[in-house]
Amino acid sequence: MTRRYTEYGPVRVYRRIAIVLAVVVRGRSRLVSVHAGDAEKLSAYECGFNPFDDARSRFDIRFYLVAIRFILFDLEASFRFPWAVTMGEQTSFGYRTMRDFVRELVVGYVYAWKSGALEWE
Amino acid sequence: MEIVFFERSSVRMRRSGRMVVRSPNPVHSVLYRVVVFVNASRRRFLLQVEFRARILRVVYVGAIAVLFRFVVMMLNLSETVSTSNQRPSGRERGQIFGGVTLRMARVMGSRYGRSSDPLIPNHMSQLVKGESRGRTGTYVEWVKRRDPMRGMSSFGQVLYSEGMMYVIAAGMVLLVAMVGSIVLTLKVRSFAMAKRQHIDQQRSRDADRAIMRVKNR
Repeated sequence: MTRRYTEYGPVRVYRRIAIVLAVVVRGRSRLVSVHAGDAEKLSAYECGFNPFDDARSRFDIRFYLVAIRFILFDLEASFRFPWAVTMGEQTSFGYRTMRDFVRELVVGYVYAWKSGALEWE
Repeated sequence: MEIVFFERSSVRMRRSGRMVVRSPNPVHSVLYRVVVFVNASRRRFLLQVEFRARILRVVYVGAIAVLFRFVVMMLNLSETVSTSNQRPSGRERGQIFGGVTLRMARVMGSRYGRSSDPLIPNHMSQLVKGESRGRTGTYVEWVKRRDPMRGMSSFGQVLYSEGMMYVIAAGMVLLVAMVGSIVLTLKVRSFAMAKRQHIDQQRSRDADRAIMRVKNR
């Protein structure tokens, strides 16, 4: 590898640790435990009778709302990263840009709060 | 060495992109999408645009893939939908293959063509010098302005001053997404709220206020 990736050395160490850990955890349970699966053991179990319908059922739209909110603030955080890194090189204009950006999101958040979208039940 | 990694992740991207279309199970398609995005992110990393690589992982792998999973799971699809009758015919395959090959040839020709600076792709170097088909005018020389050492700070140096309108517009889009998702599900919500049990109101009722005398008219 060339010189410019040397700063990712710690990341590589972490990656190796993660891989080794995953292999050890899965490999040991694979080696140690007993495997004697048959069709009845591996089938979906539902209290002694055959399952009525598919395990994959439709669910509430509110989970989707939670995911949307997560994405919004996820994106807001990713807009903040380069802003935070270059704080010293920016004028007050950059600060005000970020402030207005956050204000727009706060408007949406207040709307969500007032309309009761943050409450589950 | 880098080109090997680059091409390998390109090949993985292409293969898993194909599996996104081909996979009979839509949930598996979404998982193949994750592989596509991870490899796209790896390609950007090797092109030294680390911030975009990171954003691609955070946004697409972390968030959009979750949303797609939700959509797929909410669609109430049956176990297997056969895609054997949805395969493209030979003619369509030829058209797709030819189109992709032509595009790739054009991109490769422009990228590995006559570029004076090996770090700057050819079409970008033309933009920098302002000699793109005789066009002259005011333009910002982004490539020269960026700090070559740090990808993220080169982004931040221009995004919040010159690119202010884009940041604000992105905020508007996020606002619309938030308000829109609430508005679209509000009808169900108000119906649920109408039947809600207010425990504190129930418990604070007493007989003196609950039973009242109505005057005869």
